[in-house]
Amino acid sequence: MKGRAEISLERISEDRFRVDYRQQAPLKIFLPRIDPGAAAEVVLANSAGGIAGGDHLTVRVAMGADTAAVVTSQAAEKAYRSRGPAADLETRVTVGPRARLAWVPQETILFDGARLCRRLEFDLDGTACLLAGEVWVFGRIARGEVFGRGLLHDVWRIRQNGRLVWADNLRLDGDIRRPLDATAGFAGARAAAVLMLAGPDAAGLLEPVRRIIGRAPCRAGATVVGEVLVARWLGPDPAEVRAGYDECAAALMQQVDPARSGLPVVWHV
Amino acid sequence: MDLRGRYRLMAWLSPAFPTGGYAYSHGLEHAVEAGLVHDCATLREWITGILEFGAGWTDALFFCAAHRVRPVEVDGLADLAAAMKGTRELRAESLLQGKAFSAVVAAAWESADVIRSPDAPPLAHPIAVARACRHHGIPLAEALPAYLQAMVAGFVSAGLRLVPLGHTDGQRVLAALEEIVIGSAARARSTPFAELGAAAPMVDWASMRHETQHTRLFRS
Repeated sequence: MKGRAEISLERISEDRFRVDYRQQAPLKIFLPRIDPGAAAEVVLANSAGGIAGGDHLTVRVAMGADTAAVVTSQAAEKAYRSRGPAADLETRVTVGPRARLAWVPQETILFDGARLCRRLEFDLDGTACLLAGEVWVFGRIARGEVFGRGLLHDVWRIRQNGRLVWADNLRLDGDIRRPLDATAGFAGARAAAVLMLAGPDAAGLLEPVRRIIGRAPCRAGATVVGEVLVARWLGPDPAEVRAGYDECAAALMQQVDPARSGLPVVWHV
Repeated sequence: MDLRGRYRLMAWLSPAFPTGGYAYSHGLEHAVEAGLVHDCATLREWITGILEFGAGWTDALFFCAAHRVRPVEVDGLADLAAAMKGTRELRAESLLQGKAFSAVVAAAWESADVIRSPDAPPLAHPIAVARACRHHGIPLAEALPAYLQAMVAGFVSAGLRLVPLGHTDGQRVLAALEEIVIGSAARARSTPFAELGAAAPMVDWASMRHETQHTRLFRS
């Protein structure tokens, strides 16, 4: 299936944004909350119920100057087993001057045999703020399944004023249990999360973030590299990884939306 | 490759070449602190993971690409290699060694093409070495296994000091990694650059934790 979601935000007054969007099934867009003075909450949903091989899903987000939004997903995304081609997911986001975006979808569960290629590109103005996160679950762990075969090729690029400041290529293919179990790989982890904060104040938040991740119930660490704050979690229990990640995401959400504290409402439904 | 090429390759990849490589452990110092690496077998396993899933693999792909591309394409490759280092210390490890390598090779071995403009970030180490090899006619088939051998030898040397292990044990680890280095180099040469990717978040984790480790011998 070829799905598409396009969202653009523009500031129209002191405390209001205009949100324009277009959607093509199976991607759907919900706007559960556009309160005056607060960041717009944008929820992406996949009405197909999951990602299958051959799917091509495209997301475009354009944040105008002085806008703020929290973009999340309605539910955990599932990537199903594919016997043929890989699914292709492509997201491009631009964040304008002084705009603030939290890109915090819920976790993606990779079924054994899933094949997924994903590319996310964020182009930020030098004064913009981006909080972006990601949680992978490697198999339906509760039923004893592991994402042992298939493909995950996940590409991240973050640019500030056109300059590449952060790039990450995660690639799992072939016998995926080997990197998942290797000590220098995932060391037996079955879930992994990453959270990035880019923007003028990002580097100064390293110490508070380190204090938060010090309480995580799984392995966690943080660094500042190229002025981007990066934190990672990994562990055998997806719920523990999610708990560590959620606490930090909730705290950093205030960078995007000072009016609120906590996670997107849909996360708790 | 003629003897001159081999002479240069051995000089540039020798631990005596002044890139300061002895100061970096690539996260191994924290892997030892955390108890993940504590003997020959676990050191070998850790290094194997880096070669197959971590910077050993991605640096090999950057090395191949840098050896093949036209000069005009080097800047884009260098920017990507720098941005892809996942922690502050891993980025510094690669860029500072690349910068030192470029400066010394340009000054002593007539390879001005490894020098970048002062406002551009320095070449990551594998890119600087690959460009120098290309400039001096050292073929990729010879240069890449030698580069990976030097990388592995550096990790083993750090392991000897950190675990600690005896010199003979270190050579046993190096010997055990021979087939993996050779196989990895061959696989990298036949892998399209579009498949560039790592799967070693534990190295990033170790490197992040190393930033706040109390007792440190190494800069990464």
